[in-house]
Amino acid sequence: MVLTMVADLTTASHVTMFVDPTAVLNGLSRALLLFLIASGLSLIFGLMGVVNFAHGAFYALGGYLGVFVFGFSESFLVALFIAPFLVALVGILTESTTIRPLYDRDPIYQVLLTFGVSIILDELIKLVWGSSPLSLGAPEALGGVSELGFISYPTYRVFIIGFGLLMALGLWLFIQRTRVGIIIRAGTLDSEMVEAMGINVQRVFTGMFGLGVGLAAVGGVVASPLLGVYPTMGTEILIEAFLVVVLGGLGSVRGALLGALIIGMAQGIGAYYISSFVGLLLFVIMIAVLLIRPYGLLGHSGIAEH
Amino acid sequence: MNEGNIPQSVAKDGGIVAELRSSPWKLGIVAVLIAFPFVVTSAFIDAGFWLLFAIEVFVFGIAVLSYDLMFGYTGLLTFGHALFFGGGAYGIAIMAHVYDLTYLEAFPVVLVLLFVLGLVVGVAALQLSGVYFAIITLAFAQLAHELILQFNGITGGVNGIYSITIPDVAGFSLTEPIVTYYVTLAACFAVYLALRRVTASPFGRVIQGIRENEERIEMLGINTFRYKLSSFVLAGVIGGFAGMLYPLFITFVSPPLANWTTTGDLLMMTLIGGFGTLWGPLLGTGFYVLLETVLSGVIEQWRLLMGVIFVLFVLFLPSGIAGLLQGELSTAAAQLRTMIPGGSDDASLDMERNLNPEEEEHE
Repeated sequence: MVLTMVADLTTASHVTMFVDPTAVLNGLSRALLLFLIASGLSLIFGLMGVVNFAHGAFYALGGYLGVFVFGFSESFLVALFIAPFLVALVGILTESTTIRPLYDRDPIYQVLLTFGVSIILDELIKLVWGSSPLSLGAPEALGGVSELGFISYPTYRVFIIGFGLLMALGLWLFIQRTRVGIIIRAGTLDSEMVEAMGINVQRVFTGMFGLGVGLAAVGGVVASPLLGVYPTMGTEILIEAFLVVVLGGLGSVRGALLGALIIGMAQGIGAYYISSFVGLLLFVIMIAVLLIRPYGLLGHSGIAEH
Repeated sequence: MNEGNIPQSVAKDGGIVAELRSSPWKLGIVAVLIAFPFVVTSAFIDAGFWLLFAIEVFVFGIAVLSYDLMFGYTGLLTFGHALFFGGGAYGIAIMAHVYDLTYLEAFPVVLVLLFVLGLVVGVAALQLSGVYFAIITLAFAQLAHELILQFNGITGGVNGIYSITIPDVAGFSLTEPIVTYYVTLAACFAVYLALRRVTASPFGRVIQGIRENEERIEMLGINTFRYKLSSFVLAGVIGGFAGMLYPLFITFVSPPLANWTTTGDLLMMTLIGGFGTLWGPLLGTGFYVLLETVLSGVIEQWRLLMGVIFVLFVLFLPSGIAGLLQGELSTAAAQLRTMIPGGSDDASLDMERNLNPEEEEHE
């Protein structure tokens, strides 16, 4: 889906000796979209040790709720705030009712559970909104094409790049510069010790899960004007998000950014030269990384013990 | 597996005939399964529908048995079993379509290919454990799924391969539902018996030991990697075998067969049935396919209910239907024993007594 869109855009432009700037920008916007989704997945794993197989479903829920809220409010900005907030609430509810009882069991059970949650969410989406894709036009202010000096490029994709960079910066500041961020970083290393300091780790876990799936939902809303919303969007993105976090290192936000840049660029530029075979290439990269460096490029080896 | 490795206790039990003779309800189940086609043809108008239902249970049952060997007995959660199931189905279809082999000629060729596939993927994937193993098996399976979509010259791409011809064997048409019914029933039964032997053998003890505590087994001087790999390859070949039977009742193959949703189906059947018991996952398969058959006509989103049931089992009853049956049967028997001598008419009193062990001692 995504790849064919990217390919359509690139084949239209002029072939030069160097890497086509459109391909680079496509890769960059793809990368920042992937970062939004993968950072939440990575944070949830880093702190809680939960591999969230429902992450793609929360992304899809975000996209659908975005379209829904947009239908009411006629405002993309409102949709961009409200939908992720609602998804975060669903996430908090999910964590506190279903995942929390499983922390003292084998981590495999969390995988099983979130897999079950993904099926429930996917089917609920189909039940409420039907199986055929819905689309949300790019908001008027972001429609059309921007002149970037050396190239004219769709404004909405420029927005994705800027917005994604802003989110990355915000997330970095939140984790590095706030008190909650310190607790999260400490909890990633040793949650028992944090608990011993008198901090309610359980609540931090719940909040983190809400934040993580909320980020996925932001990705869903941002993606919907570009790609539309359709029932299988969640499973498609989940595999790519795994690819990103495995490459960057599960548990590391910087890793998620690096992984997203590599995968996004590979998709953008790869689509230009080897068309849809880029999908195959990505899986080969993923397997190779898992075998050579399972904790990813920026992860630390301890995390692989999870 | 090596016959010589089977311990005395299993080898001596006199085999399946003696077991059926000593257990009337097991004999009953076998009798019902053998008589099923005759019952449905005389009792139902739409007999073909119910035969197809049973065939589906048997075929997926074989795949689920192999999944249970991996997940239930060896303790390895794989998200890539569709690689083998889809591989078997596509293997047969491609051999027939591209290389003009008949169904029976293709069978051994595909089995060998599945063995090699299991070996290659297993050696790589088993470098990792836990959730990383789940992710790398998922990556392998999705790679295969992507290959199927891309190489449409051989695989038919998104459309899959249609009209796979299944020739008659010894005068029997394998596509005749009643023949397919007995062929798949026999195959499923054979795999069940074989895996029961395997899991009761020393090999089976070792893989269950790995599931419980791999370090400990390693300390005993056992090369656990070789055991896990053997289990992986065996499960892969059996899972692929199930896939090879698939074209018998659905004469086309398409990419969803090799997608991870298929693995998800197998996982749900295994867990809902009760992993690590073999018979439990078979029940789970029956339950799953029955619910699908009944509900998919009523509501398009029947999987929603399946997802809810699955989550409830993970949370409250991870031992599945098998655990429920075993647990319920033993508690029911225990309750019966405590209630019969009391003989009280007051039901509420009875309940209180059960809750209060001290009062029970007065009896």
